[in-house]
Amino acid sequence: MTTRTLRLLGSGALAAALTLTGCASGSISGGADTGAGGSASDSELRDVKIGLFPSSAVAAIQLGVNKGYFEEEGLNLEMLLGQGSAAQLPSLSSGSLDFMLSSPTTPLVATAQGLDLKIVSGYASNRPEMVEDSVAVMVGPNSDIHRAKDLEGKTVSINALGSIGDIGIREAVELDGGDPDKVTFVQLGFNEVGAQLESGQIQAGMVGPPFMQQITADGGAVISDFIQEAGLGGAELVIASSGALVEQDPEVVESFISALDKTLSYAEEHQDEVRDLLPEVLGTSPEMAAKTDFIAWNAHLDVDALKQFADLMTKHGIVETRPDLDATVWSK
Amino acid sequence: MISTLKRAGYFLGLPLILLAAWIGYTSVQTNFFIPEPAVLADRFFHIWFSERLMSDVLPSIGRLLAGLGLSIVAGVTIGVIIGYVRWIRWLFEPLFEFIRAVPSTILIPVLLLLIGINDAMKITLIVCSCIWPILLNTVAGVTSIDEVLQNTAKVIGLKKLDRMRYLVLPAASPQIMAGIRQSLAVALILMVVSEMFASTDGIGHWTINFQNRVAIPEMWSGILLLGIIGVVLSVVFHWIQKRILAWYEGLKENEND
Repeated sequence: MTTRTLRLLGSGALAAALTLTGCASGSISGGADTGAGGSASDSELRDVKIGLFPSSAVAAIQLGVNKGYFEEEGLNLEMLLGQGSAAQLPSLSSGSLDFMLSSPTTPLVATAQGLDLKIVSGYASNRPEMVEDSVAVMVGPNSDIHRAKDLEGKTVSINALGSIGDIGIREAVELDGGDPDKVTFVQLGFNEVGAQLESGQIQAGMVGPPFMQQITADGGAVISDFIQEAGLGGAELVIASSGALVEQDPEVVESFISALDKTLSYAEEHQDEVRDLLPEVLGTSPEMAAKTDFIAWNAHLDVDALKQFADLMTKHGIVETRPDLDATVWSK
Repeated sequence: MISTLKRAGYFLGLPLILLAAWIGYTSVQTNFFIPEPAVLADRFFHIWFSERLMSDVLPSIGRLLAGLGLSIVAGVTIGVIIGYVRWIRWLFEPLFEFIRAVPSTILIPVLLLLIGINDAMKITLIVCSCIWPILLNTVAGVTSIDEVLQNTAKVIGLKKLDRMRYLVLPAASPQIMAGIRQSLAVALILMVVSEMFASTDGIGHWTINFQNRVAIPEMWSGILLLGIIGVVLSVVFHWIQKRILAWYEGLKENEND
């Protein structure tokens, strides 16, 4: 009876988790595109699932799937889209997902809270020479804010408290001689920032492409490339897995990392092919896709950047105790 | 006395069973996402009744009550006018049907632009959703008043305002109360949703942030607090409803069920 109840609860939780992560099995599925119509080789492939959020990452990984890099490693990769990595944590922990794309903040804060997660690979780093490759702090036309220090006493939007925006902007303000505690942060989606800057409800906001380009076109400007300024650019996105998976099946993790490495190297060298996939996998207009810049794809894991994340998360009060990197970063 | 105990037993029975199951589960199974009841209780009181009572709980309740109060006043007033004056009803019905069909959450970007990042925006969002159950139920209540009663009121010489006071409002009040009851849950949902966008405080704001910070017991404590507020609202409403509708025979029958 107890086992049955637990199974029922487990099934319910799984269904809820899949609903919450917004997964639409088959819509973005590596196996469907590359499985050659259900050939015999399919049955030999190991099914793995990765949780992603709608971004260029979906197109980059789809490119690797189309190229057959995951099949070469014996994997049938399925991509599941969710709203964000924090919402996907239960699925990763329960084994509904094998891997998850995330900012380092989510796995670091999760392990600091006691969840058994591992960062198994890097995914992308910030290009120092380019502002438009990822997020930055922007202001509207004719703003009197010109640098990070000027954010003191202002209302600034970020996509989520406790995120890279939270710690990065605080650190950039402090490094510029300002007091980050005097900045009021509000949570706003990137798509809302332009209009709210115009109406004066916020004085600055964290924005990423393509909204960044729209705000620039309307006369706005970037005032802080805070990820670079705060020293967080080396590991802007990473791949996390559960402690259980890396312990029980390290071979599948190694195979995945190997396929991912090939995928990201190819995507980095062939960015136009990723742009070509954006309309298909994300519904981006071809015109917008053609103008999109990407962060640097690289499976290398920059541990120094992760240390900076851990330091700043502790310093700015996102976690009470510093995340233990030795326990969080997976080594073979 | 026995009846009261019996009712309390029914009311608390299922929650106590669930609590026992929860304690049982967490004592044999460690699950990061399901905290032990004692841990949750500790965080619950620590967060909401020491750190965030003044800064987050009271503002949330203020928004909730302001939104509900405005919805009741506006919904009942407009509902009575529309229900009572036929040509106004005909004039406004298509417009109301259109507005009612638009989910309030889609209005968030518009309200953010028109009103801004402040309490007025959040209260407006609550009103935009809560007003409809109250308004439509009021219209239904007013239009369903027996024609004979209306004619009798006219025959005995009651003026329009008196007819409103002594006939229309009392006769429509069971349906008005039904509309308010529907709005309670809607108000709570919209309060949370409004605090998830462009907010710096509030129970909804912090519950989402606890999720972002993977602070699981704290996240559950937000959900628990919202549930408790919902139950308290419902109990208070029931108490008020019993007094307002004491005369209403159907209600008494339901109580005896």
